[in-house]
Amino acid sequence: MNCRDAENTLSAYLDGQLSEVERKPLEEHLEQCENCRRALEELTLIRDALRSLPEVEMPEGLHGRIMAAVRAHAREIKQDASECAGEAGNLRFDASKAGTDSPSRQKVGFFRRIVNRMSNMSARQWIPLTAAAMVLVMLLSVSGTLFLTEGGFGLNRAAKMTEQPGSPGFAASPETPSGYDGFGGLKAAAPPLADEAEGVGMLTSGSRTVAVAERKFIKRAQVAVEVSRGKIRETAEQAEGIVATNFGYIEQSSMSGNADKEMTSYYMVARVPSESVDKTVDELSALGRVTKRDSSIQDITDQYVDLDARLRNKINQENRLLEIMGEAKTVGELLQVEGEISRVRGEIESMQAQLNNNDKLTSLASVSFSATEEGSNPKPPSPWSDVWRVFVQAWRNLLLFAAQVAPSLIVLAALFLGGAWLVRRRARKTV
Amino acid sequence: MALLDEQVLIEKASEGDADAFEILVERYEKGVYNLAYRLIPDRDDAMDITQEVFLKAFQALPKFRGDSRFSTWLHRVCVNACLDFLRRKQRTQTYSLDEPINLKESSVVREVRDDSGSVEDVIETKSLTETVLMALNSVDEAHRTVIVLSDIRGYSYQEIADMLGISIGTVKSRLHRGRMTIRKLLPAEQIASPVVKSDERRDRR
Repeated sequence: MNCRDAENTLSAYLDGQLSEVERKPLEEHLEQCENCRRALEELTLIRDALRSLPEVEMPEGLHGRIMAAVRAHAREIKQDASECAGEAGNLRFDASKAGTDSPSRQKVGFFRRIVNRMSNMSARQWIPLTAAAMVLVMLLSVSGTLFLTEGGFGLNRAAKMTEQPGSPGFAASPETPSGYDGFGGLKAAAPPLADEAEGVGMLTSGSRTVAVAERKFIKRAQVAVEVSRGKIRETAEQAEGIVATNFGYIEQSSMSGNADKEMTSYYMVARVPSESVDKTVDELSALGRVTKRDSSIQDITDQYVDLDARLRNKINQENRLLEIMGEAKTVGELLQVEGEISRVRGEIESMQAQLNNNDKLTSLASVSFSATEEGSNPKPPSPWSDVWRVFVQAWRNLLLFAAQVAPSLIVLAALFLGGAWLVRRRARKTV
Repeated sequence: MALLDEQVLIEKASEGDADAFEILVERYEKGVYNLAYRLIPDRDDAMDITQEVFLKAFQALPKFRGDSRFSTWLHRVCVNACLDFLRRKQRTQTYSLDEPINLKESSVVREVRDDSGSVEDVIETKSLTETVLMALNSVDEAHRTVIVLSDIRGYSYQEIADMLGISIGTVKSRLHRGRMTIRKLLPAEQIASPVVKSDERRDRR
């Protein structure tokens, strides 16, 4: 054992606090080392001097001061207690014993106690509190970031996901019927079809020269069904099959899904021969629970007749021009007539194209069909849903705020703590 | 009997009975005042702290569960009050070097601590007890607290460790280092054993 080790254990040795194992080598060392022996002697002297310090007498008046403070406090407690008793209307409460009611003591301003406690806290005590606050802010920001990116994914996923079957004749629809907003709401089951309501009224008004049998109609039909979960693809195939068996074709179709990438809705527009519209609609309606079914007829007889008459006029005009051309005397006259004929011919052709188109429209009806899976439609909004949505939105904004503010807060807190630490250290050194 | 008596008094006092508490005050005020005075060698400050300790004790008495002796508890409250006081003072107050230190018997000029042991110049004519006390007052508060509790108040290492919330090892080392500081500050003639000359002792470290 060297002197340094020995010296460090001298006080404990002196106080009899060393174990047998520790004492032995020290005593051996003391046998040999005069310096350490002397140190032990001096320490003993010092300790004995300290032990023999006389007790100082109480200064006069201190006892009185102590008791004055204590009694003043005791009276306060009593008053509090009796006030409590008064408020509670407890008539049996004995005011003289009020001070003995210890729970009433607890009533001495909870908030005030916290404020007092905080103002008495030293910087060292503030550190864990500050650290806890920082951890809280970080947690908040981390969860906020997660929440927000999750939300962001949700938004992205909710964007339209149309599926385009590879077969020819399918075209992507720019107005896919079902897209989701941020909260999973289905926007629209199907786009409204143009001019739905007008057709029937014209049946009576526009018949001047044409018999009803020859009237020209454009037929439109719309069917929406709900199918059970997971059946959407099957339903789509069946619907396409129905169109095919009725000698129609599909103009456009799309399938869309929800945020979980499952297809939940299907939409198509098909052209079927006018005479098989009703049959097609019936068959499509059988695919699921019908939520919407309507059909409309647009009477284009007037347009048709008008166009037909104008076409005939033009043909007559052309014939006359041809006759005139035969009577032409000069080359100038001939050229003039020829120019006129070709202009009339153009008009005739354009009119015929229009007529053909009308023929097509009237011979092929438009059938739109949409199918959705059960439960993928949101429930009718309850009055609480708005409240909830606003709450979620507010919370989301709050988290966003926290996430954005957190880094600067952390830096500020670090600077602040560092500064406080430096100040304290300097204060300590100067004392 | 005395213990039981004290328990009864504590119980009554914790229910707000100031008369019962007064008996406890009479019993322990001198000890508390002495502890405060040894930790803060200023009569007025020690008085303030003694008053504060008893008021705090009276308020906190319902929380005293008797897992230590009442006097130990009281002394713990006192030590905490003193350390708080010193901390506050450190933060707010500066001393004038010329301001005298009030000792019981006399006032002496405040010492600026420095490692060469200049205390001896001022206190060479005093008795050993007085010089030890002088030296004690220039030991820093952490070490002084342990010395006061151990050597002056007679607490065991374990009790001190519990009171201050530190380990026994820390108590041991603080006590030793505190005593060694005092030893270094004392004038050679007063403690040197006859065998050793003072200059030899000086070279020890």
